[in-house]
This record gives sequence, C-alpha cells and structure tokens, in this order.
Amino acid sequence: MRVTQNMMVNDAIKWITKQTKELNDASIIVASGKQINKPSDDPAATEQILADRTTLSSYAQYLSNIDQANTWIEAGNETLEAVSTLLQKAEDIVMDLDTAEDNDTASSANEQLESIYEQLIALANTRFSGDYIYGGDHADTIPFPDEVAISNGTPADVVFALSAAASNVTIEITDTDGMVVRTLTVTSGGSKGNNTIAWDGCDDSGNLLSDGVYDFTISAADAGGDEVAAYAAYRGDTGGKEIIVGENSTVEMNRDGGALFSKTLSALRQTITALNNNSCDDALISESGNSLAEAIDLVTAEQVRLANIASQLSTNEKRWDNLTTTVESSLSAVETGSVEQAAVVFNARETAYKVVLETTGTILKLPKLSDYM
Amino acid sequence: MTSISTIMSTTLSALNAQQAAVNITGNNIANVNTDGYSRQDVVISSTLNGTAANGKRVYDAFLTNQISDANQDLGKCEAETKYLDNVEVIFDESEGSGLSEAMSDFWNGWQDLVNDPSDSSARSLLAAGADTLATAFNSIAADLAEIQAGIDDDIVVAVGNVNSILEQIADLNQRLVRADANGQDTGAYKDSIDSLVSELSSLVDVNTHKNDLGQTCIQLADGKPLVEGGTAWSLATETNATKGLQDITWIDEGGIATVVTDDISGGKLGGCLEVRDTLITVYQKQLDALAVSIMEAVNDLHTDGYDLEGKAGGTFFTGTGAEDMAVTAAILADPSKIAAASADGATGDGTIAASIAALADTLLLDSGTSTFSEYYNSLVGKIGAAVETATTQYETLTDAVTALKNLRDSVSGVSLDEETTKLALYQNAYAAAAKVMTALDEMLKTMIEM
Repeated sequence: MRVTQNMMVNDAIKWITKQTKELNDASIIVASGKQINKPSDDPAATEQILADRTTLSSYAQYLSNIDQANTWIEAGNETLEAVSTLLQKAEDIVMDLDTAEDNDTASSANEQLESIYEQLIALANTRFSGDYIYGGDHADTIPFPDEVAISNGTPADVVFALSAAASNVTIEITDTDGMVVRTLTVTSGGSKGNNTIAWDGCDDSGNLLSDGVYDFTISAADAGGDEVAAYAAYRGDTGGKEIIVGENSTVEMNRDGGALFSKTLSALRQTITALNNNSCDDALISESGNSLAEAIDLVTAEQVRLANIASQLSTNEKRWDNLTTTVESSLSAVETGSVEQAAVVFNARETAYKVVLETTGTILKLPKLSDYM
Repeated sequence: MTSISTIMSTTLSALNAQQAAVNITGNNIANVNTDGYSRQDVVISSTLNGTAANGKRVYDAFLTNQISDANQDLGKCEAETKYLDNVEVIFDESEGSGLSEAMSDFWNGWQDLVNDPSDSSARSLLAAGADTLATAFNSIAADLAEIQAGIDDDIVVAVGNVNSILEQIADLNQRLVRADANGQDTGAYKDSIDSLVSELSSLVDVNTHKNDLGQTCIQLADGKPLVEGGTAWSLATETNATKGLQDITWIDEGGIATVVTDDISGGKLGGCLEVRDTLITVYQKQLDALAVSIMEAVNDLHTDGYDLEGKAGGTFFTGTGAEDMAVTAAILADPSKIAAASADGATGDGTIAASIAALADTLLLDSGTSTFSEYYNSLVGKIGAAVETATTQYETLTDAVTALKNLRDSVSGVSLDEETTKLALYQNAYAAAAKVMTALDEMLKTMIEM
C-alpha cells in the first residue's frame, strides 16, 4: 500500500485522541473514586447502584421507624411503671382498711385514694411528643377528660362515666380559679357507663363564658340517695400505633386506654364513693382489692407486651443493620471498585499516552527526501 | 534526413513537457494538505515531433462513495451521541440527588407520618418531599423538552447548510461542463464536488449518480431531486402543528413544500430526528407513565383518608404527566390537609399513610412486575445503554472513516517524497534537454562559421 505523510499524521491524531480519552476516563475514575460516574459507564451496574441506594434508603427509614418506636416504648414503660406503683399503693391502702375502725383512718385513706385517682388520670392522659399515648387513634383528644373546653365560642360536651345508674346528676363547672361558674342539674339522671351532657357554655346567669378550659365535678346519687361513683370517661378508641419495621411488616403498639384504665378508675372511684357513703364493708374491700390486683396484672401484662415489642424491634433493627452493611459493601464494590486497580489502570493509560506522543513526535520529525538532495 | 530545426523543435517539446511535469508536481506539492485533493499523475507521452506531459487525476470512485456512505452513518451517530449525552446528564444519578432519591424520600416521608400522624413537622416535611418529587419530574420533563427544542435549532441550521451545499454543487456542475468544453482541467471541480457530497452525506442521507455530462446528481432517499445538473432544489423547515416541533420539507419547482421528515434517516438530520422523535419521545412516555401511576396510586388512597381536621382527603397530586405534576396547592399551604387517617377524628391513625408508604414496594408498573423505583432505574439503565451504544458506534465509525480516508489518501493523497523524487527526475530530464539544445546551438554556430 502506498503511504503518504498525511496518512501517518491522521493515524497519529487518531491515536492521540483515543489515548487522551482513555487517560481522561481513567483520571475521572481515580479522581472521583468511582468506577461508574454516569449511566453509560455501565448501564446494568447503574441500575444495580440505584436499586441498592433505594434499598439502603428504605433500610435507613425502617431503622428510623424503630428508633422512634423505641422512644414511645420508653415513654410507655415509664408511665406504666408509675401506674403500677400507684396501684400497688392503692391496693395497700384498701387492704389496710379492714383494720381501720375509726372514721379518721377512713377519711385519710379516702384522701390518699383521691390523690392516687388524680395521679392515675394524669398518667392515663400522658402526652408524648404532642400525642396522648393512651387515646387510641384520637391522638389529639384528651382520653380521660376532667375538663371541658370552649373554643371559638363553641362549648364541648361534658363527658363522664358512672359506675351505676343514677337518678340525680349534678355537674359543677369551675373556672381556673376554682370558682364554680355553672351548676348543671341533669334531671334525666345518668346511666351506667359513659354519659354525654350538652353544655351551652354559659354561666348561671346565662352569659357565654370566654374561651378556655373549665374543670368539672360530677355528683351523682341513686334513687336511695346513695352517692354513685362518677369517673372519667374514655374518649379514645381501640386503635393501636403502627410501626413499619419492614416491607409489608408492621408491629402494632397498644394505645387502648379504655381497656387499660377504665376498670381501674371505676374500681378506685367506687371505693372512694363507698368510703364517702360510709358503706365500706368487708365485701367492698375485698372486691376493691381484687379489682386493683386485676388492674395491676393488666399493667404488668401491658409491660410484658411492650417488652415483647421492644425485643421484636431489636431483632428487626439488628437485621436491618446487618443488611445495610451487606448492601453498602455490595454498592461500594460496584460503584467504587478497587482503588488500587484504578491507580494501576491510570498508570498504564499514562504510559500509553506518553508512547503515542513520542511516536507522533518522531513521525513529525522524520527526515524528508529533500533533506538529502 | 533530419534537419537541425526539427531536432530543435523536438528538444523544445521536451523542455516544455518537463516544465509541465514540474508544474504538475509543484501543484501536487502545493496541495499536500488540501482536504479532498486528488493528486495528478504526470503522464509523459511521445508525440509525432517530440513529447508532451499531461496530468491525470488519480482517483477511486468506489472509495469516494464509501466515504460518503460512512459519513452518513458518522453524521447520524455524532448527532445521536451529542444529544444523548445531554439526555444522560438529566438522568445523572451518580451523586444520588436525582429523581430516584426524591422518590425514596417521598415514600419515607409517608413512613415518618405513620410514626407520628398528627405531627406537624412530619407533615411539612412530607409536603416538601412531595413537592421536591413533583419538581424533579417537572424539571426532567422540561429538560427533555429543552433538548428537543435545541435539536430543532440544530435542524434549522443543518437544513441551511444542506441548501448552501446543494447550490454550490449545482454551481460546480455548471463550471465543470464549461471547463470540460473549453478543454480545461476539471480535477479541481471534481475534487470540490466530492468533498461537498461527502459533507452533504454527513448532514442527510442522499443518493448520488453521475449524468452523461459527468455532473453529480443528488436525490433524497425517497427519490426527490436535490441537484440535477446545474439546478438545485432546497429543503426548508416548518413547525408541526400538533407536536410543535420542526418538520423538514422539500420545496418543489413551484415552491410547494412537502414534508419529508419521515423519509430522512441518515446524516446529522437523521440523527437529530432519531433522538428527538424516537428516543426522547420514548423516555418522555415512560416518565409520564411513572408520574401518572404515582399520582393515581397516591390519590386513590389519599381520597379515602381523613385529614387532621376530620375532613375527607382531597387529591394529593394534580397534573396529567411529568411535565405538570404538582402537589395540590391546599396541601402545600397547609400540610394538616394530608389525609393520613382512615377515620374522621382519628388524628393519631396513620393507616392511610401506611398504605401509601407501602406503594413504594408495590408492583404497579410493567404489567405488575416493577415497583416505581425499579421502573425508573430501568429507564436510567436504558438511557445509559443507549448512550453507551451510540458512543461505541461513534468511535467505531470514526475509526472506519479515518481508515477509509487513509485508503483514499493511499490512492489519491500526495506523498512529498514521491513528488520530490519525480521533481528531481523532471529536473534532470529538463537539464538533459537543455544540454541537447546547447549542442544544437553550437552545431548551428559551427555550421554558420563554415
């Protein structure tokens, strides 16, 4: 084949272009620390990388879900621990009652039980990060209300529970200073369980009260004139708290305050009422004692359930942690590759580039026939 | 009996012939770097009374055609590579900040909402994440449309180049015939025409043939004439009413435009059309399918739910595709309108949010075989593969064209060493002829002095 100088130059240019590109590609890999810098570098691996990243992101989310659930469990545990202590104390007080023969002991016991009741209500109404933890799905509604609110001039209903049917029910609504602003007499009486009474939001003189939260106290009596125990009604539902711990895998935490507290509150209130009515007898004491013991069992069972959930979460957490490590190393194997290999390739390219330049230089400096003429 | 004057005239013809040969060689040397120049071989022949030197264009028609064909493919591939590179940048997920991450964040946002359905910050973050996702779709769609518009600009410029080349070829065709009639050297015209045809091939796929006068005639792939002898037709562009993109038209003698967009498949124009109408359109469709199915799936569940105020959930996303996908304005303004609960007033219930979060792992695309992210990942993979193929093809074709040009050079290119050798040859012959002339001169003198 006939070869002209231009052919040699064309070829030299072609190889310089090629080697420069190779050198550039290798330098990008070394500089970025990544084998794959754009989809076309390796389309299949790119898909793999994207899939791995999505997977890692979902693992991180599961871990974050578990983290959050753990704080809830901690809050629940703290609350239940306090509830358990209070119930224990109440049981002790009730059990001591049979030796109390004089009224002083009874009334001091009553005061203590009253205080325990208040504390239980407060615990049942525990809020964690803005939500009531024992209100079921009604995270923003106080689960055991002993207050009623007027907002934007609209009063809420007064909700309470009775341990037995009552023929006379009186509701005293007090302001923040403890002043009674309204006394509602419910002529129809009340039924056993939850009762809802509408309030027009007005004071005794018929003036609409200003927006705010008002406490209320219920006094109820049966036809015989004996006081009927009134306790805070449960406003929530049975909805549990869902924790997504994996793909199509959830763990549900109990939030049903009704199941957990209503019976206990009712039993405690009945004991207090009986003491008020001077109708505290051995039968009541043993009944109260049993109810409280049951309530303690309930709380213990709930604590065990929380512990189980916590262990489930921890199992999942370990699993996601391990999988995260696995996927991360697979991702880095695909995306980053070996640094040493990249460095070696770069050196090889550099050498090839130098050789091409040397060759081109030689071609350009080749002597011409005219030099010898 | 040979007279001295006859010998002188023969010697003169030798001097002229060697001079002409040096001229041709000089011309070759002068054009050593002229693109498309075909060297002239010196043909020295004996005549009745001496000798004559003529230039003969050294040329291989087959190779020239092959270069044109390869240029057609190279031009197409070059355009494809250029625009696909741009497309690839849009789908660059290498830093993990693209649509893929926006989708992950969006679904994770729903899980965060499940963790605390009444939490306003979880809601705000979710609304922001959804907005980021919608914006990511919008900007990819807009970027793809922008590339299409950019391709349109290039098409208009390329059509202009085609027209200018067609006119030049028609003009050269006329000159060629005139020069031929006057017995002038037509090599330069032929070389220019070949170069122009090669350039034209890199812009659009054409068929060429020579007519009886040796003129180059050019037709579009579907047979519509572009150059016939000294007459040139032209191409033009017009905006397609439905697509809003440029169509390529062929203008006939009467000035009537016929759309020939679908008949163009090669050269730069072919590459432009391929990327604009086939590849990008497919990517747009897939992106739209993804956006629409996300919107539909989320909206379906969301409208079943209840927001923090106990109102039934409205549509979460609005829009008809990737281009106009958006989070409902009311939700963006007030994230408490996100319907996470399955019942009125259940502010702590995240059932709906959990169902929506679960969509991330649901096989809703590709006839129930792909999740959203798998679908998108395969789209990115597809684009990567298209770029990879185009790049490899481009490199191969570049090599092929270089190889063909070298082959052509091997036949028609100028070798300086070769020309120098010939130059010395003609110089020596000239010197020898001059020697003869000197001898004749002395012979004449001798005769006169006799």
